Amino acid sequence: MKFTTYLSLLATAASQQDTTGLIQLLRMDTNESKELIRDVVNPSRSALLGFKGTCEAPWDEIAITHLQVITKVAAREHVNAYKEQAKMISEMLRWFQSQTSWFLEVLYRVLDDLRELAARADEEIIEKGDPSKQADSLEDAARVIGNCFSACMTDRLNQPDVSRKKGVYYIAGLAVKCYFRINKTNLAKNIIRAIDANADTLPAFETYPRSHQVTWRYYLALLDFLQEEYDKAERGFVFVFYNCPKRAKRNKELALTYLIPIRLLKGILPSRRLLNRFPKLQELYKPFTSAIRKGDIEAFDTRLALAELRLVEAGVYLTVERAREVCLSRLFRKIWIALSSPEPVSRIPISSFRTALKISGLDISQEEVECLLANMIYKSYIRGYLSHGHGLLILSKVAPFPSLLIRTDPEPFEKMTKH
Amino acid sequence: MSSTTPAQNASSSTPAEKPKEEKEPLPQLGALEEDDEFEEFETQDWEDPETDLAFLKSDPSAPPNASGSSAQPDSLWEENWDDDDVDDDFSKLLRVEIEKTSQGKDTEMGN
Repeated sequence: MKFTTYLSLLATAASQQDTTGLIQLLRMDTNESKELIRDVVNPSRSALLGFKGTCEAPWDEIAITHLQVITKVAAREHVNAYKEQAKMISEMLRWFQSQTSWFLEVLYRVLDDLRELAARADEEIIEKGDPSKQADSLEDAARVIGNCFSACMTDRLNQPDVSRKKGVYYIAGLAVKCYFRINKTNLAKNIIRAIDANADTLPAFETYPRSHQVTWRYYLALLDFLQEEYDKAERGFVFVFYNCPKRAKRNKELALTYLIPIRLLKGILPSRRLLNRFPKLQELYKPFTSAIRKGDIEAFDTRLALAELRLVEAGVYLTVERAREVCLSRLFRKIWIALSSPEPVSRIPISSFRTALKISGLDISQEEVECLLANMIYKSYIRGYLSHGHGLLILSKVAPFPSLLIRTDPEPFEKMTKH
Repeated sequence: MSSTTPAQNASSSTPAEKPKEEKEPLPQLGALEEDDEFEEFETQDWEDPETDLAFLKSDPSAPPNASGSSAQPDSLWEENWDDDDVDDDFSKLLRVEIEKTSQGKDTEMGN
């Protein structure tokens, strides 16, 4: 394809708002781009400067820059390719500020390429190991995506059905994806704040395409999860899991990877039916749910050691480790039930718990047992009190082991003293 | 000497003790090294029947249904699973062991 042909195709597609055509012409791995590389003898920027002004701005500059992107990609110069793509998008963005939502589809796709190129550029720098260069393309990509986000958010002219605001959640999701890649999730705060502050000017969340809603809620839930805001994270992952189409198996699996341990802490276990659908999660979590169900602390501990690597990899090790106390609470309950035959008992020697823990594979001192029981009482797994002098646990006559569903964690100490 | 540090203790331990300290490495559930990024959806939008939303009404997070029934047979989650079986092996063994340890101690149990 000759450059003049490309220029006129691009300008025509833009004037006709032909999004499919524009995507074909502007993405990096298309037949059109291959034909361009083949036929343009000298693709350097200086050689193409003469074409400036031969079509409506900014498409002349965009065309020239696109050609730089694809030649750099073909030469495997990813750092430079990334820079050109970023440049092309800022050209587009100035023009986009005067457009309606029609261009969003195209913007999404060139941003996908931007992210892809940034990742490759960072890899290239890390591989070469040149200490004078930093692998900061992904961070820069997040900045460019942030500019696109603002260009959507600040649309005050167009009617809701054609407003650029329709792109807000998708683009916000792209930015947060970058932040996760470079482990700078704290930077996501700015975008979340911008959305919260302008929520009343945005179209209702339910009116966005489901793919936008689900992706955005996923990243919000993941951020809540990292902050150990488990209730908020749970609501988010529930939304994601149920709203994802069944065919998007990996995405559902990701949501459940976090939702299951959050719910283990509340004593809500995934059913066999649910785990059967996700073999990898079944392999990972089934032994924990069985151990909790049986109050089998030895099985739980063995499993925790065995699965440590994978739990850490998935970022859920600490949460699953916290579920150990749920398992322990079931063991204490089981002891109480075993001793409550035929009549319910309300005074149990601490030494009996020690014996029971020993049978269960946990051989610890009387003091440690007492400490575990004190912790169980403090965290409302057990209703009662300890008589240290008599070496007894005195249980509440009413529901000494309340349902896990109504149990609440005590306020963290720091929070209580903060005010 | 009371000022001996643990490190010194360790270095002075005899070779015969060493194998005991080294635990058998536990078999590990290997890392999967999967891409953990949320995947791009094939389509922008979809309908309810393509999702699991039909199960949402029986999710533990759902408000109790109008009929007030708590039985939620088609839930993907289990909330009430506590086992009150007192005749399993653990319970029997526990009663025997406690019997043994409390003999002669005159420990009062029950109310």
